Amino acid sequence: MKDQSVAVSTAASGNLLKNKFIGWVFTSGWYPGFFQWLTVLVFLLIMYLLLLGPTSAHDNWGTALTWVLWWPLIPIIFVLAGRFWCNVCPFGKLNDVVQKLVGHNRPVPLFLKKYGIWIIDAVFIMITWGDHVFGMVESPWNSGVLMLMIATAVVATGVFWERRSWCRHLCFLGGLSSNYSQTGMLALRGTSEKCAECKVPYCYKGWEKVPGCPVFEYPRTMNSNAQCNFCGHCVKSCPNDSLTLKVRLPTSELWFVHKPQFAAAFLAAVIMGIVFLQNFTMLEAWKPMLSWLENAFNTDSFMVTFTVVFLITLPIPLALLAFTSFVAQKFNGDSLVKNFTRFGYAIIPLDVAGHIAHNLFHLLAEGKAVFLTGLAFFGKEVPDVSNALVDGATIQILQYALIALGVAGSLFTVYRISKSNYTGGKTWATVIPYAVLLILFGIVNIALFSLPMMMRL
Amino acid sequence: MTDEHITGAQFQNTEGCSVMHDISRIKARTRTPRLKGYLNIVTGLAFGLTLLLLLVGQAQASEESSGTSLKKEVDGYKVELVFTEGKAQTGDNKLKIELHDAQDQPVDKAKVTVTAEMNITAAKGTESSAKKNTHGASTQSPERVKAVELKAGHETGEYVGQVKFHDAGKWNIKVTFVVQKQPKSATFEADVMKADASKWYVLWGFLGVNLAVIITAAATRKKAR
Repeated sequence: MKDQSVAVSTAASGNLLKNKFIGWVFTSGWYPGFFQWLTVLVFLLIMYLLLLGPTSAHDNWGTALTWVLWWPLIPIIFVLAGRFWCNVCPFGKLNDVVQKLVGHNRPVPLFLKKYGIWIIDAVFIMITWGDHVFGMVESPWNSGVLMLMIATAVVATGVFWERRSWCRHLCFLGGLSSNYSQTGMLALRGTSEKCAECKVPYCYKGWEKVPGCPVFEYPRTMNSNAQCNFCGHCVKSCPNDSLTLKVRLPTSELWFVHKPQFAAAFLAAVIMGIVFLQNFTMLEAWKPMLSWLENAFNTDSFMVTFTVVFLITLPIPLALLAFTSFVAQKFNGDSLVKNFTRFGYAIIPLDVAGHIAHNLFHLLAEGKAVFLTGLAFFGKEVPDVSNALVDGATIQILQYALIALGVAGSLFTVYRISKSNYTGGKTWATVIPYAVLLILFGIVNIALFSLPMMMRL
Repeated sequence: MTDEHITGAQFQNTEGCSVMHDISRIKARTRTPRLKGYLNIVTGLAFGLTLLLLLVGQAQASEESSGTSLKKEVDGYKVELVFTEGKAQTGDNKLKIELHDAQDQPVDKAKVTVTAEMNITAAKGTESSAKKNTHGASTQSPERVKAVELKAGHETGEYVGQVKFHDAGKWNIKVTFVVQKQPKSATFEADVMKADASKWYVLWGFLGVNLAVIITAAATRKKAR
C-alpha cells in the first residue's frame, strides 16, 4: 500500500480535466466522434490507395502514410498519450457503427477473456512472419488485404459481442499498445473518496445518453492504463466529477503492476525478439546471410529460410529471460514463472525504445516520401530528391540515445519492482541478473543500429 | 479490470447496487438453448468464411509476390526477364533483366534498354490497341512503350527498371544490351493481363462476407433480444 501511495504521488501534475480546454474537449458531445470520423476518412483514402492505387510501394501514398508515417508514430503516441489511438482507431469506429446498427451485444465468451491475450500474442507473431514472407509492407495490395482481413474480423466480433471486444481481447495492436501504454505519461483515474460514496456505476455501464466503458474498465478500481483509451465516456457519465487525468512519470505504472500476467511478460520478450529480427532483416548483411542459408538448406524458398531465422531469433529473448529468472529465483526464493512474469514487464521500456528507434529510421530516412507520393497523387510534378529528412549520422545518434533511455528506464523499473517485492539483500541480488540481461539487450540493439540498413520504400 | 472482476463483492458495500447485475448477461442466460445454438452456428460460419478469405487473400498475396520470368539465349548470352511483382499487367510493372555470358558468368556494366510493342496479330478484341478498318486491317500503329534504360540492380548482372503497359494482350518486349560495343537483342512475348480483374474478385469477396455477417446479425438480432 505504501508503494501504491508513492505511485499516486508520482503523478506530479494536477488534474488536466480542470484545464478549461481539455475539460471542454472531454465533456463535449463532439468528442471522440470528431476525431474518429476524421481518422475514418483518412483510412478510407488509404484503403483506396493501397487497393486501387499504384502497385509499387515506392509510388503509393497509402504505403507512405501507413508504414512511413503512422507506424513509426504509433509507439510515440502510446508513450505520450497512452491508448488514445485506440479511441480514434477506424477499426474501433467500424465496430461501434455495426454494433449500433445490428449488434447482438452478447457477453464476451469466457475463453476470450481468459486466453485472448495468447491469441493476440500468436497473431502478432504470425503477422510479423507474414509481413516478411508475403511482403505486406512492400506491397500496397498486400497491406490493403491485411486491413480488409482485420476489418472483417472486427465486423464479425462487433456484431455479436458487446462493446469493443475486439480491441480489448483480440486486436494484435491492442496487445502491443496495452504493454506500451503502461510506460505512458497520462493516467486517468477515479478519485477514491468520491467513488467510495458513489451509488451509481454509470462510468462502467453507461446510461441512456452516454455509453459505458468500451473496454470493460471500471474507473472506481482501475489502477492501470493498459486498457483505457481516453474516450471520455466515464468523464461525461460521472455525476460526482470523480475522474482525474494526470501526467505521470513515464514507466511509473510498471513499478507497481498489481496482477502481472505471464502472457504480457511473454509478449514483452517476444517484442524484443521482433525488434531484433526487424533490424536484422534490414541490414545490408541480410542478403548474403540469406544466400548462405539457401545453400545450407539446399532450397531457394524464402519462406523456408526466413522461417528458420524467425524460429531461431524470436525465442532468444524469451530463453534469456527464462534463464535470468532461473538465476534470480536462487536469490529471491520465488518461482521461475513468478520471476519471469514479474520482471518481464521491465523489458517494456526497452521494447518501446527499440521499436521507436527502429521506426525512426523509416520516419527520418524516408519521411519525405509522405509528401512526394502525396504530390504525385495530386498530379503534381515530383522533384527527384532524396526521401531523407535528416542524414544517417543524426538518425544513428537519436537511435543510440533512445536505446540508452530505454535501458535506463528498464533498469530503473527492475529496481523498483524488486524494491517493492523484496527487502534487504534480496532486492539487489534480484536486480543484478536482470540488469545484466537488459544491458545485453541494449548492447545488441546498439550493435544492430550501428550497421548500415536498407530502406522500406 | 475486466467486467468479470466487477463481482458482487465489490458492490456489497454500496447500497442500491442491484442494478449492477449485467442485464445483457441475464438476457444471455435466459435465451433459449435453440437460439443460442443457432447463434453459435452463425458465429462459426462467419469465422469460417473469414478464415477462407484469409487463405484466399494469402494465396493471392503469395502469387503477387512470387514474380514470373521468361528466358532467352542470344549469341551464347542468357537473358532472363523477370516481372518482379508477379504477372505482367496493365499499368506500371517492375522488371528485372539478368544477363549471363556463355560461361554463365554475370555480365556487368552493360547498357540495357527495353522497348515494348503490342502484338497486333495476337491482340484480339483490344480495340484501343489498334483500330481496324472495315476489312479488318489495322489503321493505326500498335501501342508502344518508349525505350527504358535499366539501372544496375543489387546483384552483378542484374538490371532493373519499370515499364507501363496501357492495354491487356500480347506484347513483344525487346531487350537490347550492348556488350563490348556489340549490340544484341532478345524479344520476349508476354501476356499482359488487365490489372485489377482478380483484385475485384477479392474485394467483392470481402464485401460479400461482411455484408453476409451484418445481414445475418440483423436478421437474428430481434430474436436474440
